[in-house]
Parts: sequence; structure tokens; C-alpha cells
Amino acid sequence: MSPVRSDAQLSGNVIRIGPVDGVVDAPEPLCVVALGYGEVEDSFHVWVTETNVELFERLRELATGAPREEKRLIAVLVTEPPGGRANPDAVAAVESVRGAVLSLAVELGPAVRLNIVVARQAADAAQVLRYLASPDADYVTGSTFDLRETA
Amino acid sequence: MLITGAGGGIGRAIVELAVERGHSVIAHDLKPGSLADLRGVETITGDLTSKDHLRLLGRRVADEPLEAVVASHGIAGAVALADVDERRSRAILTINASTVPALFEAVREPLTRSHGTYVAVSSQASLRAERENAVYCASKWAVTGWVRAMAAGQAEGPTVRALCPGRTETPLFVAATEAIAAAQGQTVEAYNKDIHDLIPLRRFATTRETASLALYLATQPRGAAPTVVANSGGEVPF
Repeated sequence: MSPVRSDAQLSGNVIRIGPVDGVVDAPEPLCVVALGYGEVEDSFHVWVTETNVELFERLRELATGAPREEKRLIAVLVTEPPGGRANPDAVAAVESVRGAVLSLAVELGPAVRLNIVVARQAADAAQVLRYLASPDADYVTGSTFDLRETA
Repeated sequence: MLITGAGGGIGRAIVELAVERGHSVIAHDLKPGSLADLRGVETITGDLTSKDHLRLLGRRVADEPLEAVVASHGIAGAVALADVDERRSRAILTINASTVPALFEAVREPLTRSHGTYVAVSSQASLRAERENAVYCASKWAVTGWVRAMAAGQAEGPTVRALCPGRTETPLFVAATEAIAAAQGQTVEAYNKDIHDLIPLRRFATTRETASLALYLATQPRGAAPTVVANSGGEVPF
């Protein structure tokens, strides 16, 4: 059993994987997959391997499930793991999700718009998520919005 | 020098070149028998995802003057999202990513004592997004990100570097090429020409070329070589 699987919860159009602190606001039609990272003993394995295993499961369901007429609009919200950029395991966790999400954006083409938001905490991402849900962002896919750079 | 993945194309080439250049080598691989024909090296087989095996490996090299460890083990993982399954994605991520810092911890002390270097053989897939290869990319982006952060954060301890090879002519790569060409109804020559057109040098790397760069990274003192180097024939400018 994955140590992060049990934390995967669906609430409205928000899927949480791991411990995500705070409110995640996902305006329609955006679906948000929010990733959180708690203090664990084997942090690299749990944050990189187990979290991505769960992420791929959820994204497969979201992106390749029953056909829909409208385009799917997904944002993966990464809340920074403990230690931030000073912690190599935390860096690896964020980079692994970027590698996954950006590759899937290339693979899935026009049917799915897929972006990644990296923030210190979920609440910091509210404005960006509203933007990604708006028609103004129609040409935005395969992009990283790293809010840590502006904090 | 400890070299993992020594039964495979790149790892085996690193071992052979290291021996040729006079290094003392411990060759490691998962599969018993895969190292049987290597000459002039000590061989160890075992599963790097096993904490018990990592402890054993750490004990074996604990008193060695360990100049370098080259982590060149790994598995391929090209798969479309629709075909991803949990077991496969966990295997790709565990073997390609989780074992890299785990092996580092197992050898950190002797490497530190020897002012040695830890080289992770990552991939050009860690430097770009690739369709139908997202799980593999996730694993390799993790490795290269971890290496960069380790290099930036530790003034003491082993030097940490990553090699990002492009398409290298290993037996597995050649077999995969033949299978893809057949699936697409093309000859291998026609398929390879299409791929060569993506590469400025218009050819694949030989295993010896990739091994040579790995050894370069493994043997340069801190500050004398970059933390991350690509060897992609120009396919992924870096």
C-alpha cells in the first residue's frame, strides 16, 4: 500500500494527494490535483516515487477517462516540501512532478491543458488558479508557474 | 571505483574502459550471471532497492579507498499515460530515482574519506519533456534535480555529478529500435534515419563515448568539471 494513497481525497474538483494544508480553490472548469508533503523517514522515496505513482493514477483517470466534449483543464499544484530548495529531496520531488506534468502536456495535446503551479502553501496559488481557469489562459499549457520565485 | 548497472550496455562499457585505464573496479548488477564474462574486476550482484543489500554493499566498500561511484543502473520506461499502471510506474521510479540517493547514503562515508565523486547516470530525458515517456522523465528529472541540489548544498563530502546521455547504442536500445521500426512497418534503416535527423551529429552515441564521459566526470576533482553534463549529440542542447 502506498504511504500517500490513503491521503488521496476528492473534494469537488480538487484531488489532494498527501497532506495539503489550507484551502485549495479550483474555479470551474479547472480541476486541481494538489500535492502535499509531510515529514517522513524516507523522504526521497515517499515524495518522489510514491507521490508520482499516485499522481499518474489520478491523471490517467482525469485525462484518459470517459470522453467529454469540452477540453479538460488540469492544474497540478505542488506545495513545497519541507526544507524547500535547501533540501535535495524536496528539489527532486518538485522536479519529478515537473518532468511528469510537462511531458504529459506534450503527450496529451489539445484535448487536455495541463500546467503546474509551485507554491509555498496552497493559499498562495489562488490567483494563479483563477487565471488558469479563465479564457485568458486558453493558450497556456505545459507551463510552470513557480510562485516561490516571486515570494 | 564502484560501478552499478555493470551488466548493461553503458555500465559495462564504463567498467571495461575503467579497467583499460588502470582503475580498480567493483562491478555491480542485479542479475547473477550478467557479470560472468567481465575480467579483471570484483563482481557483486544484488538488488539496490533492498536496504539490506545496500547495507551489505556499504560494508563491502567501507574500508576501500573509493575514488568514485558511478550509478549507471536503471530501466527503460517508455509508456503512454493511458497504459501506465501502478506497478510499472513504481518500478521505474524506484529503480531509476529512489535508489540513487539510497546508494549515495550507503557509500557516503568511504567516498567522503577519499574525497571521491558520485556520478549518477541520468538521461537527456531529464532535460526536456518527452511524450509517452512521462514516468521515465519524472524519474530522471528527480535525479538531475537531486544532483544539482546536492552539489549546491554541500561544500564538504563527496562531489556529486550527473551525466545525461542521449541515445546510446546499447543492446537494449538496438532491440527497442528494431521493435519500434517493425511496429511502424519501417525498416530499421529508415526508422534510424528519421531519428538521426533529430540529432545534429546524425548518429547515436557509442557506449564507449558515453562511458568515456562518465569516467571523465568520475575522475575530475571538485570544481574541475560541471555538475551536470549532457552527451546527446546536440539533440538536447544544454
